[in-house]
Amino acid sequence: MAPDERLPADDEVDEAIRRRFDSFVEPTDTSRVLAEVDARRASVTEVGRSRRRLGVTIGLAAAALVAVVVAAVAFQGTSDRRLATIDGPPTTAAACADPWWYLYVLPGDFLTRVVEHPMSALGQFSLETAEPPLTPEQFSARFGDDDGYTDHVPAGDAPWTYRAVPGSPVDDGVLDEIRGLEGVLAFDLGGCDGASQSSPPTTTPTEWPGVGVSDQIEQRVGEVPETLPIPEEHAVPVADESGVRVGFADRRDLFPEDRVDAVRGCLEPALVVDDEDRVVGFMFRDYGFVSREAALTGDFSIRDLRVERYGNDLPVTCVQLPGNGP
Amino acid sequence: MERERLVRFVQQDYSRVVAAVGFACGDRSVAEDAVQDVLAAALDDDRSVDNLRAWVATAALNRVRSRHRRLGAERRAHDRLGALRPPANPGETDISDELLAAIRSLPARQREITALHYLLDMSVADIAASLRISDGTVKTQLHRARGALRAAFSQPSGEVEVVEVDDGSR
Repeated sequence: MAPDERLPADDEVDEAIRRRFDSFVEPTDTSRVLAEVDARRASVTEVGRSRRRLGVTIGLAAAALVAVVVAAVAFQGTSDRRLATIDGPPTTAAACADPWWYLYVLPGDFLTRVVEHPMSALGQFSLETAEPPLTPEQFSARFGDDDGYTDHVPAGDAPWTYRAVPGSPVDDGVLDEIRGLEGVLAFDLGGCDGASQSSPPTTTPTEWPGVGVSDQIEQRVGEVPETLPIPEEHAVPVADESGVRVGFADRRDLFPEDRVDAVRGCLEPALVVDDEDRVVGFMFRDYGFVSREAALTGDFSIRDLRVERYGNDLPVTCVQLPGNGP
Repeated sequence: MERERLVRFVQQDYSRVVAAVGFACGDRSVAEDAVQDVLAAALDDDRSVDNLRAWVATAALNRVRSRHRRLGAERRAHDRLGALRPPANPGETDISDELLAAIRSLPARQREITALHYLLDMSVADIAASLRISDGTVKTQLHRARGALRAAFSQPSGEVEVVEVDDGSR
């Protein structure tokens, strides 16, 4: 280890600390440890098999439920479907038949934390940590479509992602868990209308944003105030030392009225606010984080990609990050 | 991970990693569970890991954090239901002396960084990479931890001053 990688030496204290620590390092019974590791491995394998079996059952039930919901939404018409889109306080999700929620993770915690709520019928909430961080390919392989959930990893090397989580309803306990997670950047509810997450989409291709959305972002982002207090109940602390927190406000008012339907479920920028209520950037669903400065100066690149999960190869615009998170 | 590498790890690094994670979370048995879970999962993982000791420690710390959060959620659920509160982190008393008291007085992040630095001899850069924080944060936290531990060690035995620190955890 190079000396300059270390703190300035404080030999006396360092030695005392190391001596105390070393006294607690116990000899290892290698055979015992190996046997216990093997036992755990066997147990995990069996649990995996059980979960897969259960997953098939739940998947069939979920498919039937989705069919009923889609039929009901189609029957109720456009206005009711719009009512079912919930982006506000999570408690309103209880009124939603098929809520999904999203957990954004900090760039530095890329894919290290995944929150699932797959067993809502059983009232279970599980937190799964992927170690080490997964590449997008590994993420897709692990949490891909084969489990019946809609997962999406932005194309390219966008340094964050989210997990789309089906389940209902999202209660205070789940929110407490999310607020307690280090590295969580934003939390967002939505997708109840099935337009943005379910396949097939219930909106027509022309309603989806194509090239040009980025122009709106640049044009409208300047209207965001430099400071914006976020209600405490909507603030999520981010990383213990950074002081950054996030308010996930519905900012569709940033976009022209006639494009509201287009941006619904696609952008819904969350404002990233620091501990002095200064807006430091924006988190766009599916797209990524853009700092306020980058957005104002246009210092982020745009490129098209096709998001397979929409099921019909619709071109959408991706905001490729400049690589510097909050 | 190949089995031969697992055996080498258990022989050479296991106890030190368990101790480091144990100091970070305050419970050696929980730490051993977490480390073994990571090793069990690693056996089915084909990716190559350069610094296995640091990788296992980091992954185990992640598991410990998840466990604590689950326990927190369970306690809150018990509170909401009016049931008896389960004991807080049973078995957390197996490391006992002034070092434990001093370590416990540190915020969670400082505990982790201190253990990784002094027990696993990880550099500032390695710790920063493992915990995904900046080098400066690691140095700051280590500096603070060292100051706190220096003060604790200077106390006569049995008179450790334990300072309550809000580490931001829920």
